[in-house]
Amino acid sequence: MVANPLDAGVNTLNNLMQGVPNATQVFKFASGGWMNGSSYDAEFEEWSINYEINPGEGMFVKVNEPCTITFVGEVKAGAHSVDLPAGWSMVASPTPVAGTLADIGLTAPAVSNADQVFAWNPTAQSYLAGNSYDEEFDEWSSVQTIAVGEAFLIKKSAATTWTRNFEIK
Amino acid sequence: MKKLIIVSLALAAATTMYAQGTVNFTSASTGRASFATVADGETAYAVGDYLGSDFIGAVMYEGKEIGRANFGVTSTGKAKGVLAGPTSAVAGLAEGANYTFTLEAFNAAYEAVADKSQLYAGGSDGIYWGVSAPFSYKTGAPSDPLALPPVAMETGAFSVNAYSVPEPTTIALGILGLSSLLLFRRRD
Repeated sequence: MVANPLDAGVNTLNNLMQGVPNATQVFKFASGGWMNGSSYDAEFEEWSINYEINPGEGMFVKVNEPCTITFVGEVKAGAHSVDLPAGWSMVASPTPVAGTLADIGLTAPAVSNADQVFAWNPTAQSYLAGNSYDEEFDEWSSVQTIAVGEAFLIKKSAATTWTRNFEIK
Repeated sequence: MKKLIIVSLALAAATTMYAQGTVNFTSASTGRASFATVADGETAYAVGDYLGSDFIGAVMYEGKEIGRANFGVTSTGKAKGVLAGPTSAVAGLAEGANYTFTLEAFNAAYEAVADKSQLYAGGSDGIYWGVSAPFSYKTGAPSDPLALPPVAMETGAFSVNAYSVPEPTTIALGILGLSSLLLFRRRD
């Protein structure tokens, strides 16, 4: 699961992800389910659905061969909010910062008791074990690091807003 | 207790019936559909061209159509030879299960032919049809957010051919010829 960590101005697939292998597929997640897949056609150098992938959003990427996606853009400085709806959603940090779930600000009130996070292990081609938030002890069931450019699925009992602040010094 | 079991069973059955596998009605650009032959006098297409949005792709499972979409074009209108439909739930298919499908490609003229057994290869009628090799496909499982999304179909490259329907006069001549043959045979 991949996230666009930078603001490229026009954050569409055609602008963000050129040169990936032919027939690479991208899936966005919305309203608790997968949206229509978009495929990259290397012959015509375009995506079948030119989705916007803004900082804070995630996408599931299926490639037929290993590749590196390089994002180019500006760091979004200041305060940025990501809506976390009740139920399932796919999100990422809107700022390019790696860290544990707590480090990237996923603690109360952004998350509530028993909210769960599921990240993807591309090597094993499976989800990592679900990580559950314990509001009483203000901690996650396991220490999990989210990399820059990594998205994850989150299951929430109630809608909240996840606000991230980023200062450029 | 008995009522509770019946209600539970009914609920389980309803859930199973409701849970339908989803199919992504797009095909991967690793296998495009193109023209192997074109009709006599054809001006719109050439051999080797990819199919565009005037062609229909019907996904077939065990001889029955489970859904269809049109082939796609690029943002500048060029035919791509890949199916370009949405992801839809298909009745009768289970979630997250493997199936073997084929993809039939044809134009509206083919669909309008009532008796397809009459078609013959070539001619100038501009009737096109072709079918992919069988390919395996795993359906999506919308009831499970952690299930992987349904991916594009790996149909492999395949092509359509031009067909025509016999002219009524040709059919009449054929019948006349056959009748004459039978008549002479009897007299001998």
